[in-house]
Amino acid sequence: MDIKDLKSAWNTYSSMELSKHQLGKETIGDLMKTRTKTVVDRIDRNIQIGILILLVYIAYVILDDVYLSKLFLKNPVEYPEWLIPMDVFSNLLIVSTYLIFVFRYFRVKRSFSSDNELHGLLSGIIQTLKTYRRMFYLAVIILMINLIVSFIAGICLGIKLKAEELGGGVSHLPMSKIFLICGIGLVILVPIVLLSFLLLRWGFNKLYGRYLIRLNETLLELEETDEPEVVE
Amino acid sequence: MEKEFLQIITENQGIIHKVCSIYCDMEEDRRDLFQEILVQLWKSYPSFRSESKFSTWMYRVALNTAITTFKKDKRKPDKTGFPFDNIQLIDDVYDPEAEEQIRLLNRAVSQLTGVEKSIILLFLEDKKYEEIAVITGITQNYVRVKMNRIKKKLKLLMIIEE
Repeated sequence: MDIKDLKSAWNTYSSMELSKHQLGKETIGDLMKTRTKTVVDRIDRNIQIGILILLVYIAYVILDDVYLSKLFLKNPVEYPEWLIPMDVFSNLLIVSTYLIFVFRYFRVKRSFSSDNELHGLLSGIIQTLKTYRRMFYLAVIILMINLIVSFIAGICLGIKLKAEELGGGVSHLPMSKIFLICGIGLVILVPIVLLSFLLLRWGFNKLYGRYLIRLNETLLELEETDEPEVVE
Repeated sequence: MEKEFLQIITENQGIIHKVCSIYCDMEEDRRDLFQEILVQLWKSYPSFRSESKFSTWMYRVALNTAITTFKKDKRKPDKTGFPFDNIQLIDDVYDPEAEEQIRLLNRAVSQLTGVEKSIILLFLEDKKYEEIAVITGITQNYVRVKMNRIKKKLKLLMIIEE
């Protein structure tokens, strides 16, 4: 079948399809009214909810550090002095990472719509999906930083209390006990971090992995820069 | 604005049906894509400027939506192309040769990539390279190169099918 036949076959087929599927104005209006959110709209909504939840969580973490723990604890825990800059640094890291994330999200959100060129649209959707994935990673990172700082503080306090119980300073504690406490902590913490990341990656790939691959392949197809061939 | 939009879409719905025909091999997917294109057209309608043809703008939004649409994994596409029942000609125009051509065309087209499908659809619709370039947002030269490759690919696919 040559190209002329192709066109005639297409004309027959498309006019037949149109007569079979043609809709009235009312039906089209109904379809618009019962419209569901597209996947990008849903992701967009989820990111916005996520941004809000993270903001509340960060506010809580900082408020807890600065105000709440002092308010509720009768005998505030005395942390080692070197832990205070670490705590401040972790809070700064959390806030700046969060702000960068929000800035990037709004930049991506502004950058595309369906009547853009396909290349721009594809890049926009890919960026939105990656932003969505990053948001989960950000949540895990924030939680982990918080856990690690609390964990170190807890270990320091535990060692100090144990030393006081034994009637001496920290230096009197056998090193083996200190290593055991740190070891147990790490055994609990490392798998939690790893599992969280793996679980998030698996969940995201399960939901959007194939879609992301397809979009990336299409983008690559558009970006092909092969030597021009001889044109008929 | 909604009334005006409904009127213009009803008159030009053929474009959406053609895009759905080329991109969907299942009736359920076709309905979803039709609705998704409709939603995207409505969302983009305020940004439509009369400096370009309405059909050009409509093809662009419809094809962009079809290429970037999210397909649920649970629906397995029919690897052989359209179900044959869907492409049987109605009795009064029954022509076995035409039916065979349509079957071949559908099977071959179903094996093209998303971008290739958009270019072949516009080519079959007799659009010039210049307009295809405007709709797809790729250069005219690249459209020519791509078209050349698609023709070769289609010929090969149809020989295999025959």
